[in-house]
Amino acid sequence: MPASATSQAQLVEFVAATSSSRSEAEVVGAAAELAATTIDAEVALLLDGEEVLSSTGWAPGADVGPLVRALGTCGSATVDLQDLGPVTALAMPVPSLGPGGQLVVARLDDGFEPAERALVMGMARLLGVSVDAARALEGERDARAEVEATAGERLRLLAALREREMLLTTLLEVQRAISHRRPLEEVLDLVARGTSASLGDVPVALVLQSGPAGDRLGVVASTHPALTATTGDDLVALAARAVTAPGTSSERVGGEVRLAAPVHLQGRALGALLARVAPADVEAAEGLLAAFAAHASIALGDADTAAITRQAFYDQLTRLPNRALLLDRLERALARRDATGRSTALLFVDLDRFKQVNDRYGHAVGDRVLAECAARVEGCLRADDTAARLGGDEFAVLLEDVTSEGHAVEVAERLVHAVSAPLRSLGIELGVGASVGVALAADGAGDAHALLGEADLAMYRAKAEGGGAVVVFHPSMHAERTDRLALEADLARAVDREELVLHYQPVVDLRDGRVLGAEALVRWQHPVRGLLGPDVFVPVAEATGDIAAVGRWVLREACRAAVRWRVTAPSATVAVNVSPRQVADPGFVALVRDALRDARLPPEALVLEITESMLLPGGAPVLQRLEELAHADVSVAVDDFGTGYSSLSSLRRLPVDELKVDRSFVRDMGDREGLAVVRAVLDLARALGLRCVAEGVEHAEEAALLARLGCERAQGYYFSRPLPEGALLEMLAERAAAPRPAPVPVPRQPRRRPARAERRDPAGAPRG
Amino acid sequence: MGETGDRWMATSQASAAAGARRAGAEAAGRALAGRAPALVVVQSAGHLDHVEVLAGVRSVTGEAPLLGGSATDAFGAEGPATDVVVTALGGSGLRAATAASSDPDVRARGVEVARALEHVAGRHRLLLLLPDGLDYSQDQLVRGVYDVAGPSVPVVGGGSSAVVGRERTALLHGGEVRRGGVVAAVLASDRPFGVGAHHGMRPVGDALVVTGSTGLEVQTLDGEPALDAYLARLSAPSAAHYDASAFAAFAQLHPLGLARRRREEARVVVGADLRNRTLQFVTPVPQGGLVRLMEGDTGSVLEAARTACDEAVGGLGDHAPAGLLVFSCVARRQLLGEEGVAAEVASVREVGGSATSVSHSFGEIARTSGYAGCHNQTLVALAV
Repeated sequence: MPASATSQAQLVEFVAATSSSRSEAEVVGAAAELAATTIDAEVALLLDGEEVLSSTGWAPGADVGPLVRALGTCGSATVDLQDLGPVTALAMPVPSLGPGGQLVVARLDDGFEPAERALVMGMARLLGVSVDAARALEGERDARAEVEATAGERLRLLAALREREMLLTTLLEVQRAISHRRPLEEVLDLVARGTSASLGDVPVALVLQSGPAGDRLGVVASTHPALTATTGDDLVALAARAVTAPGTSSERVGGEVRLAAPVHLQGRALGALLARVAPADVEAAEGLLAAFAAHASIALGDADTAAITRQAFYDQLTRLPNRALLLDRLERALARRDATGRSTALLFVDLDRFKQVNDRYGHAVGDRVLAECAARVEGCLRADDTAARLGGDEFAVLLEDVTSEGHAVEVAERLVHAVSAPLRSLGIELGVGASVGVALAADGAGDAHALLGEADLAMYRAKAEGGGAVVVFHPSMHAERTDRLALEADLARAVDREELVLHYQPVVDLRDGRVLGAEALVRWQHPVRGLLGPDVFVPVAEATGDIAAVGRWVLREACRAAVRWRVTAPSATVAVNVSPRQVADPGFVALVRDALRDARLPPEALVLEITESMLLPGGAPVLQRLEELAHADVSVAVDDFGTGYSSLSSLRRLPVDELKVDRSFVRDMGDREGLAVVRAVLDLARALGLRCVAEGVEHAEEAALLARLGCERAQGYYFSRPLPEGALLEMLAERAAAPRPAPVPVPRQPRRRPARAERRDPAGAPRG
Repeated sequence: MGETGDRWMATSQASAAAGARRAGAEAAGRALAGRAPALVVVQSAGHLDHVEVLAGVRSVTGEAPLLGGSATDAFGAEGPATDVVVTALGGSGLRAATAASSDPDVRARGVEVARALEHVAGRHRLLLLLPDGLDYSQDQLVRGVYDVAGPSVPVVGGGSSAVVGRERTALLHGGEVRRGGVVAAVLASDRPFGVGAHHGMRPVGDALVVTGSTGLEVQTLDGEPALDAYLARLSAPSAAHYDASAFAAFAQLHPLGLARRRREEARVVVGADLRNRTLQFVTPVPQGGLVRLMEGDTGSVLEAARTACDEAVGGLGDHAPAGLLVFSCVARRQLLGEEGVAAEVASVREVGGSATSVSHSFGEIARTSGYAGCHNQTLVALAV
């Protein structure tokens, strides 16, 4: 890490450590040790003339005279000290301790780099500030012990404390800006503002060398631009003079004093930090100004930072502010809030179907879609609001001034509406739509990153609701998210770790109770959470894409299992649920073929259950897959039939073999309408020559009723809950070995497999 | 045994299968081989009866200056870790005195033991510090020592270790077994000593500012709850987020690096407050500091071990080493694994010869320049 970067950090550490001292004695007593720690020097001394106020690495009672004399007025020297040998020493004045006050640090083997010299200067100045603050505290205590403190004294104390606190906060802020590689201009701006705030909101300007050859001085940061405009030349002139002066310089202009503290780079003064203060405040201000100037010097000194931090603030594609600028504005907005009852809101906007558009139409169109959406988002906002592109298809909107949560939600809904409109200008009929998370800055609290995180969590929930939703953040979402992330991480490894397990729910013949096969249902034996059902982890898998691996495993394992069962029950079948995503994958049929082949399972033993939604127009491009599967002799069943609004004509056309009557219809058979519906479905299946399996049979009455209606197959808790393979094998052994008498007499139906007879070879010739 | 001129150092080990006292006597007997030592250093496995071990050792070494402590693992001149390792050094030109302190004020402890310097003169002096490894104020101890010893006396050492939860740490001084505090020895020699210290971890990713810290507990990094910031940037496995022991195992592989002048200093995360989302350390991580996440692998850690040993030997100038006394942080074991630990010991033996002792410590001390001297996750080598 470059020396200047470390030095910045060290200075902030130093401030943090001195801020906690309560008395002058404490500050002075700890000063040498803190300085030695901060600069990593063997020796440190806090001196008043030749009196040692505190020291470390220095033999008590040893004579400092030779050291002090060697340091003289220039503040640095190489001295041969009696016990230690030659040391390189550096000294900086601490005026608060008196005219002879100075901080001296010395190293045995190394010298001090320029950035470190600036650091020592900063430390010395800050020490002075801490001493002053501590004195003010003590003075206040004494005053209170004697008399009632006057308002003026109280103000002075508060100012001293606030100064110190603000100093630390400001330095931490600057530190973060530097370590986050904000542009240099921004960092210097922060320094100027921090100086101003610490001095009581006085005008502050930073004047540095500028111009292509660095030959001019110009104002690079100012807290009061209007002022700078009128007095700019004077400031530059003052800075020019300050650059040649050894310490802080001042000049009186009218009723005010202009202070200037030089700012250095690589040991060379190349500008000054200027402040305009009242004459009474000059002494206090000088120390602070010098400290901040030292900090600015350190910031400048990091050449790498200067080079790297020339980042664009704006996203190239959409011309919107980027994340860095958004966060900056958000932080300023949060800082500016006051008790007017108005709040700051952050909207996290994620486009819903951008990926599909991108995949379907290509990246060039995708980029234009992003730009169009960005423009639409901006179009919904007021002049003071900020829309930013965070990356990918994520945007954020900063509403600086909202009256209520409802107001923010309203804006969010407007955004969703705008982004959902068709993208006709690009020749795309659909709009992409968006999910929006809303987070409001709570009163008093104001952390930009936290707020962004909250809006993100809320957006996540909006996405989970299916898209197009606006959700406002609630604190419980943190826990949800952590939990979800943990689950996602674990799921990613679940297949490799063999934590997935299949349970099988038997499908029985209603006429004779024989077990015809079973539906494979995946479970996850989570090492900590226990056995998890698919409702818990399948949606997660779909979102992360792990569904492909999970689905592959399920298919292959189910095939292997079926081979094992068929030893006992040679005609048993296994049914496996497949998701639209799996079916849409071009390699799906090959996957099925491979699974069958590797397990040595005849294709007619496998039933793939697809959801009814896949049969809808605009659903996955499923027709070709189904035909390929039919060609491979694999059966296809439509799961949850009746819930998906498929058209009858599509049902006729598509090569499916089986309908599974949704459990809700089975449950509702108790009333006349419900019964009629089930009868209709069964008739439909019969008419089309499809098998029919009733799902979710839980009572004997339901089983009997279905049998009477001519339904041949069923599954449900009444027959068996989903079983581990061992238990299923036992059941197959029982039921296969001794066919039982029919539980209820049922009119026999002629069995045929018309779907197969009607199947066409995808090449066009009918098969016999 | 290593000998250069008439400077000698020897290390021997023994198993306590036939009794702790016997092990102590055996190891001491072989290490001394009839010579009078200037200093005896004893490492004794945490589960042993240290009183017995000490009695066994002293039956051979008599009143010679002695110090030592418990160690989870200690390796002598050959073979795997054993129960008792005794190191002895002597020869003309080498003198030693020991000291101990249990002052409740840790800094005062450092001052007290450093006063032993008054009793031993010599052109080159070194302070060997063995604090109780479970006392987390080693930095204060080093400062106390520094208050008396100043910059010209290097300080080296390692905290006594034990299997936490099953064993207690212990320190040995003379004929005494002590619980808590510190034991120390001043070594004076007509030749320089050599000290090396390296951890082998590398910083990765962007720096984080320590925005909230009380020193040994860090509340926030970059304004975020420290634990969450730490786990997020490392993409930690889910269990580490909510299970204390999973976190501990993970954290040992991922110390933070505190930006310092010469390099990143490793700061091992020893625990976390899962409710308040803070991180806990044994060596201070100051507010305002810059930290980076660190990672290492077997290669880098072993290389660091070698470098530290070479550095220590280099510090001897023209003199050949009589032997090496090495402290290796217990946290390194997690990363190295059993094989790596054996490789580390083998590497040390390659440099130091047959008079090497390696013990695993809680916290390492090495101050040869600058002001700080407390290390985590480090291998510290002292060459004599």
